[in-house]
Amino acid sequence: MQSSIRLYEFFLNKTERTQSMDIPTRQRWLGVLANSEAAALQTLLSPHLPPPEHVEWLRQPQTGLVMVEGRTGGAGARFNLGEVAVTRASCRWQDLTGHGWVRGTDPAHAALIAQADALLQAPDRHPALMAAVIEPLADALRARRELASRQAAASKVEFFTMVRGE
Amino acid sequence: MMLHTGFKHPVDDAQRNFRALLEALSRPLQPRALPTLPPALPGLAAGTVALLYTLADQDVAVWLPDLPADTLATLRFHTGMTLAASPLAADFIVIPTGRALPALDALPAGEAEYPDRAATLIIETGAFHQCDVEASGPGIAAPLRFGAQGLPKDFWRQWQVNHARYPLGVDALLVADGVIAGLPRSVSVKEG
Repeated sequence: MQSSIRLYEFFLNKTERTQSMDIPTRQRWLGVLANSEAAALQTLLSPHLPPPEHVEWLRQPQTGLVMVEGRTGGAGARFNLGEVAVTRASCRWQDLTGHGWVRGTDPAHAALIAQADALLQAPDRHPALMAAVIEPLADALRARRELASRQAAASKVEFFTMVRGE
Repeated sequence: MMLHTGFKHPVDDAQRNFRALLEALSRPLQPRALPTLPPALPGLAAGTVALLYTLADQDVAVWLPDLPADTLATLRFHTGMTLAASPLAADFIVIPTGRALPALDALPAGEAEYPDRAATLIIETGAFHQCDVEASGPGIAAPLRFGAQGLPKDFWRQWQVNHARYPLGVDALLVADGVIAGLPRSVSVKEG
């Protein structure tokens, strides 16, 4: 999860900085979009999508491998954790550029994220989209993580050592 | 700042252009059209942009003169190229129409052990014709007449000096809009 967010950070720093929106805000919505289910995103976003002829594709969806780095204990030396398949796409809507990067090999998912990213940068579309798309996806994501951590916590085993002797 | 679209089919289009480029360099100074052209960028002709999309990647340093930010951002977006600070540190040196050409003998010409570490010039010119020089060398069966509008007056004299350094020296690609002519360092020219 953390790694995909860092990917966006890398990407945004390398290519272009968003003009109006600050980076952490954009990182948050890109992180939510990338970690959500493609089907859920499709359902929530489709009423808001611009007509296809208004979207110009700078980069059609393409899949490649990205090396994910880790740090021992979160702070130690860097090491290569492994390669992960990543699909990316970029589009322009009006004069806004949207980038979509997502783990996996689903081109439609990357295309949806790119369009959502472009729309979210438009000040007049931003509040409605945050309320209708990003917040529900973020809630679902949080619920999914809580469920997972509850299930993990329920399987926790406590070990006791009986005091012997006396 | 606005990014522009590149090749419609990045892999296929780049491969087709690369094939044409190989032929252009193996049959020097015989103009041939690039098979697919991307949209031109502000300050660069479509043919030049096509060559950069075809040749440049993240391992390549390209020197470009002052160009609009859109153009630089788009080239970086589609290729991942690094921008060289000076022509001396570049693998590719792009000279758009109307920009000054640096002296050829000052550019990276490779080393005796690694002649391939020389710079390649991409020079935008006007239309090709047959009036400036008579060229000969590998890939040219019979002496060939060639010329290009818009080249500096002493270009061919400089080129002959460049050729004399063979196997070192720079290579050049001349671009007249969508038509290219290869000019590898092996080509010898005689003016008049």
